[in-house]
Amino acid sequence: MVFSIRKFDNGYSRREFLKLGAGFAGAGVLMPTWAAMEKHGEVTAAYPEELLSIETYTKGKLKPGDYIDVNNVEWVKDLLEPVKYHQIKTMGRRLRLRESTRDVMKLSPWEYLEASFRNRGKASFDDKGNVVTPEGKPWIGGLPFPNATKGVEFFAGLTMSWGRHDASFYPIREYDLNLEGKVTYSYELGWAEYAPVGRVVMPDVYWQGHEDKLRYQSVFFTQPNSVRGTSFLNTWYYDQNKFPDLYGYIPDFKRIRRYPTDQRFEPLVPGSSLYLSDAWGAGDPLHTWGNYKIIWRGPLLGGVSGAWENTDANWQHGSHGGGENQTFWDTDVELVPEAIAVEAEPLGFPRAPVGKKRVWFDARTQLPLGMVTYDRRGDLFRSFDGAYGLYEKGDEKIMDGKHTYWSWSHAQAFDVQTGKMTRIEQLASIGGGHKMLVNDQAIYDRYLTNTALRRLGN
Amino acid sequence: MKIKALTKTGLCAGALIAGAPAWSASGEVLGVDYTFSGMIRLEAAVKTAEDENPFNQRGNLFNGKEVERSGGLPLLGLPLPSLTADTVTRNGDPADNDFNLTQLRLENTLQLRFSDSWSATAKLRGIFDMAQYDEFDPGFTGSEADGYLYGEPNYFEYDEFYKGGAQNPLEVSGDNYMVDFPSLYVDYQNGPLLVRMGNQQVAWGQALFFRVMDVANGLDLRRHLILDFASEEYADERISSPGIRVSYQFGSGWEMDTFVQAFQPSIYANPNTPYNVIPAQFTVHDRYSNYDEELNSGIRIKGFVGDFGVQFMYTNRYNPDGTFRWTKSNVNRGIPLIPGSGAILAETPLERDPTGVWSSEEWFTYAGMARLDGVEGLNKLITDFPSAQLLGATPVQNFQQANQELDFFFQVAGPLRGHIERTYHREDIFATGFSYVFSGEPGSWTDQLIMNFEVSYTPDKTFTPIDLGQEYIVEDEVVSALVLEKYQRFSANFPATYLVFQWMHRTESDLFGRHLSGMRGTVNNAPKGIDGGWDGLVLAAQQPFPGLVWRADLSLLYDTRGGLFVQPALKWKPSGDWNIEFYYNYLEGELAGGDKNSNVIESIDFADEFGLRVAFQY
Repeated sequence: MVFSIRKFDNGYSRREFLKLGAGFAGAGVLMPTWAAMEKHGEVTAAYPEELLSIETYTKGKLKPGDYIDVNNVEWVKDLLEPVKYHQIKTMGRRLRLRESTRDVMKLSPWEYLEASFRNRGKASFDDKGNVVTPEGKPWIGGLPFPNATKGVEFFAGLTMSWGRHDASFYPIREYDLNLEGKVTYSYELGWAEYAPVGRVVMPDVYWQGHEDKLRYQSVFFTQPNSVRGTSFLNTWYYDQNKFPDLYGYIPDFKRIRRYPTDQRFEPLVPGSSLYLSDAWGAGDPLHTWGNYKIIWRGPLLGGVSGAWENTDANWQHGSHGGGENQTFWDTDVELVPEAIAVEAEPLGFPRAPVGKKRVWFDARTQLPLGMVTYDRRGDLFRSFDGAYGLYEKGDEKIMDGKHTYWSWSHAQAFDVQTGKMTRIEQLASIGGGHKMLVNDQAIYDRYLTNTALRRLGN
Repeated sequence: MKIKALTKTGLCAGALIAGAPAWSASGEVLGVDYTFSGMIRLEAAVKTAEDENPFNQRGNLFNGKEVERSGGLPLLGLPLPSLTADTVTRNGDPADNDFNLTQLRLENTLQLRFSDSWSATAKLRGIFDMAQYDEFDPGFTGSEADGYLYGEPNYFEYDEFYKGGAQNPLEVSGDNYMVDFPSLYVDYQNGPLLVRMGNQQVAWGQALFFRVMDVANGLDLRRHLILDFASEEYADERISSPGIRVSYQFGSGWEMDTFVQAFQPSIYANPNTPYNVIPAQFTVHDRYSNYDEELNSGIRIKGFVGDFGVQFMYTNRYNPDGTFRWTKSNVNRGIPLIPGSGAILAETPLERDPTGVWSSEEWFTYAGMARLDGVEGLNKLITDFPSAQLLGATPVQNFQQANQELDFFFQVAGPLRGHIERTYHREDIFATGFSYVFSGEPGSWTDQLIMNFEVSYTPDKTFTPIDLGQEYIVEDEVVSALVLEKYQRFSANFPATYLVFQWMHRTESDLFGRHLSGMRGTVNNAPKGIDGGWDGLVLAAQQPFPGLVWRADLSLLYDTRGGLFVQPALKWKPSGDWNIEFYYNYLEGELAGGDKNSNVIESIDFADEFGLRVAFQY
């Protein structure tokens, strides 16, 4: 049953969102979002019906199950980031609509959200700008600023926990397409993340002896032959003013070497449009960027649910659009009642090709819905959008402890200026027997030590 | 003709570039995950210099050159006027090569994962040399030189003196092909413990190309010496060896890494092959069979002290370079009109053959090039092998006497080959290193600048005696390297440039391990040696283009005594399946100011070439 507040017409939410000019007081139109979620377990109390139903929002023109394509995109232009609109309008991209998800616990890992509720109000920035508890210790898990009112607070949460799990291993395939829409490069890789602090599932909030670290993260390639065995290990300091330590195993050198880590605006492999800086929309330490500011709020279409593909044994997704009908992932989107766009500038990268980035956050969960970057001239440069969801469909589900696994399923990075696209998807496994893992201590030993890199190399 | 043939092959390969990318074979069989991938690559290097390899018979500097000889014998230590004087012309057939390299390479890797703890890797490498070279024909010169490798060229076999074959137990080779397993090992991982068992390479240290801590394995120089794509360092050269390696990472981040491996020596290019660097007038008897059950071992501990990365290493090994000295030829081939001379020569390091040395001028020229002492080399040949004195040879006291005596014997006996043996010596290497990352202003030259310093100490290290006598040179050696590297972005439109600067200092030997006392010998003088150690500088830059489809490299090795090796290169990856690489090797061993035979580049400066590699991956 939908709780509908008819007295708030279509213009009400618009008027409310336009109040941003007077300063952002927190997410929620009718009441603070997190207070509503805490009280009701749903967001419906925080938003009028027009923001919870695409059918209501479009006055019946579109409903769940419909596709947004070149023929009807104008109806929802206001609900799309500029690059997504451009792709639908000119490149054959289409999006399938689904019902908006109202149960907030389906929008991120259960334990992460639980910790966000539990720890609400405990976080602050210390004099170095790092998030600490009231005791001055590293953060204890979940969103540090669920009621964020400043841009840096949104980015702090995103930077501190990318995948929202204590430990994740993602088997990934990457497809790089040229302007004509043809796949010219493809890679298979593994991506591992491990949190030594702020843990919400694994034993102990802090991993003793590693409290000065925020994250261990590695990426390694299993295909094609030219990059097989190449791997990089990033050790992130908790101090978000410092660059991570970067170690790499290059098969030619037969050893692990330390590498400089401040160049984060290049693809790791030929043909790719993905940069280290792109990871989760917050791939760099928090304070290597700056001038964070909230510049927009409003409803948006986002792929926050149902992205898992269970019709393929290895979770491969379908694609469409572009010159060869394979440029874009098949994507379901739903009306996100409130998104908040935050801009930031790369202060620590004076010659970066990026002049600023803009990330749209889901106000309910602070998940990044999309990102665009602008070059130094202020022109649109690149875009990044992904799709998430619980890994369950019908009776089939993938478990993460007591709850259904939640994660990203696919993402795409698009170079607006060259027309090149990189698509990545999370698979069940990649060659070499590397399977998806979550909140498993083995992830550290298997993928996040120098010893592990040597084993992954050849 | 040969160029056309290679060009045609290259074009055919290029025509296939339009193919669609495909995933490597992978899957699961009987519960074992497998992946299978590989590549096939055409590798060619076109000569761009007139010079032929002077260390080969057909590149010998004296082929077709008329040389004056003035034979004489010293008497009571006094020089005598020439007894005889004549001229002679070496009968070698000068080559005119178009190519230095014409090889086809196949590499396949099979990786198996039995469980989370157990996995295995097998990498197979196959090389076929199309041998589009002006090859040495022993029949042309009438050579009957002893030894499997001293007839027609053999590009890969090198083991037994009369049979060829391969030293590596996991290699099969023939005249122009080799197949081996650079990797064939099983991994066992249990938490922070990794045990790797089987044929494997071990490399330590941050310095690239300059081997301070990278001392576990020798180098296989048969395929392209050290002149292949510089940014790959010794990927194709480092010799795998059967062994066990155990690594353990402690919770604190410190890592211990240790190995025990079968000893396998470095492999030099065979005589009369394009990149041979041992004068082909020598016959080498490799005594590896006396050492093929020996083991090397080492341990390294690595971690952090504050912001400094530190590492300590100890390795006990047989030096894979080996040492050379005179040895009996055992070739009974007498001097005409001197009965019994064959038996006498067999007891000396000498062998009569037209592929040997024809004159003292050739003797001293090549002694200098090989960093040997031509005067004392003659004396040791006589004193260490007394049979030589039965032919009237007596020790000399100076360069002039050596000249006369050598010419005399070449006049009497004809061209003579010199037999040397290669032996190996155990040594202890102690090393340490530290690293530090500078954090300057964003975008500045000191931002994320990584500095590494590594130094090793080898007490009582054994070197080739420059007189090839039976007593080796034994001295302590210190080798150090300073490495600076960073990414620097010069513009917003181009990816960052990767820059590496390295400086190496060696106290006793040059980059190739030759003792410094053998430097600066020429046709006119015995070596004068050099003081102050050997210094080399490396500057390398990699500039990817947007999208990384193209990458331009520049690698530079400068020997401070007047040698320069520059390799500009272009790497192109037009699609996921294809890699194409172009490079040019510019070698200059005689920069202004340098003395003759005093730097390492002089030994390879015949190899100016344009290289091309076209690879298809699957």
